[in-house]
Amino acid sequence: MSLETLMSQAQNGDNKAYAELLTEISPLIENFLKGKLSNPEDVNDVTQEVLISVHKASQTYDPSRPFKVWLFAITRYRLNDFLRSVYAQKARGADIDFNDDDLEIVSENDVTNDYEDIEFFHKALGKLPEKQQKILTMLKLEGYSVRETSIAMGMKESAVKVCAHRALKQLSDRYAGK
Amino acid sequence: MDKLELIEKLSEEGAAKPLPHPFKQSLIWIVGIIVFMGAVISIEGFRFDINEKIQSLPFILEIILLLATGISALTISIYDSRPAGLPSNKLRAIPFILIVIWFYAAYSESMYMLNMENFIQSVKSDGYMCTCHILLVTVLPLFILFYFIRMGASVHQGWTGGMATLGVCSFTYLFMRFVEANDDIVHLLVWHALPIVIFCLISIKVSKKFLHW
Repeated sequence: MSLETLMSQAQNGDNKAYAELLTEISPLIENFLKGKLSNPEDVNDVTQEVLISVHKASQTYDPSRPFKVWLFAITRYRLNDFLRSVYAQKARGADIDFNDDDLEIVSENDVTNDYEDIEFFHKALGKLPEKQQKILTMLKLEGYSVRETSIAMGMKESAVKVCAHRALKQLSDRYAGK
Repeated sequence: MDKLELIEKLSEEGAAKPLPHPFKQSLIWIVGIIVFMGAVISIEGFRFDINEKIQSLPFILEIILLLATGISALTISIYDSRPAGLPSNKLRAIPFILIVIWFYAAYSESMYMLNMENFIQSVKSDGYMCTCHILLVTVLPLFILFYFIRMGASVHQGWTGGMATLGVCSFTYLFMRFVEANDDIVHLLVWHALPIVIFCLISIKVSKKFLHW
C-alpha cells in the first residue's frame, strides 16, 4: 500500500495504518539523515523528533499531494532546527569537552575541608535555577554519569553538559567575587 | 525512549483529521477580509470624491493591483502554512511583482514629486494618524489569520508570517484609498506604504518565533 493511502487512512482514524506508516517512514528518514549527520546517536535523536513532528503536523497533509515531499519538508525543517541548535551551542562556546572521567579524578587536594567554603557552595548551589541545581547535584555530588543524568532529566547529553558548564561557571564567578 | 515504543505511542494517539483544503481556506479568508473592510468602510464612509475617482483609470488599476497583491499574498501564506504546501517557492515572487506594477501604474505620473524636500515636509506633517489608522484596522484580521496559520505547521515561518501581513496590509492600504481623500504620493509612501513595509519586516521576525512548532 502506498504511503499516501496509509496516511489518508490514518487521517480517517485507522491507527493500524498509522503504525504501519510510521514504521515504513522511519528508515526513509534515517537514510536521509545518515547522509547529513555523522553521529548515529544524532541520527536516532532527529529521526524520533521527525516522527513526533509528523504526528504533530498530521492534520496538514493533503492526500491529493505526494507524501514524501511533505515528509521530507518536515525532515529538513527538523534537521535545520537541530543543526541550528548545535551551531548556537558552539557559538556560545559551549562545545566543551566534559568527560565523565573528569568526575572521577578527584584527589585529596581537590576536596575542601573548609567549613565556610562548603557552606558557601551549598548556598550558591541553592541560588541556581532548579534545573542547573539538579544536574550539578547529580553529576558532582551523587556521582551519576552525564548519560544517566540526561536520561533522568529527559534531556540530550549535550544539553546536560552545557547546563552543567554554565552552572559551574556561575558558581566559580560567585566564589571569585566572595 | 526507543523508536518502536515511540511509534507505538504515536499510533495509539492516532493521526489528526485533515484541515480544510488551502484553496477553500484562502477563499474563505479573502471573502472574510473583503467583508470586514467593507464593513469598516461603511462605518467610516467613502472619500468625498469617490464618484470621480472610480472613473479614473490609474485609480481603478491601483485598486485591481492592490486586490491582486492582497489575494495572492493571503493565498500564498495559507498554502505556505503547511509543509511543502506551495507547489513552487518561486510563487512567492508574485506579490512583489504585483507591487512593482502597482507602484508604476498608480504613481508613474506623479514621480516628479518624489524629492527630499517633499519627504521632509511630509515627515513633519501629522500623517502618523494614517499609520495608526492602518495599524488599528490591520490588527484584528491579522491576529485571527495568525491564529489559523498556527493550526498548520509552517516550515517557512518568516515567509508565511510576512506574506500574511502583506496580504492583510494590502487590503488595509486599499481601504485607506477608499476612505482618505489624499492622493499625495509622498504622503502615501511615507505614512501608508513605509509603515506597512516595516510592519511586514517586524512580522517576519516575530513569525519565526510565534509560528515555530
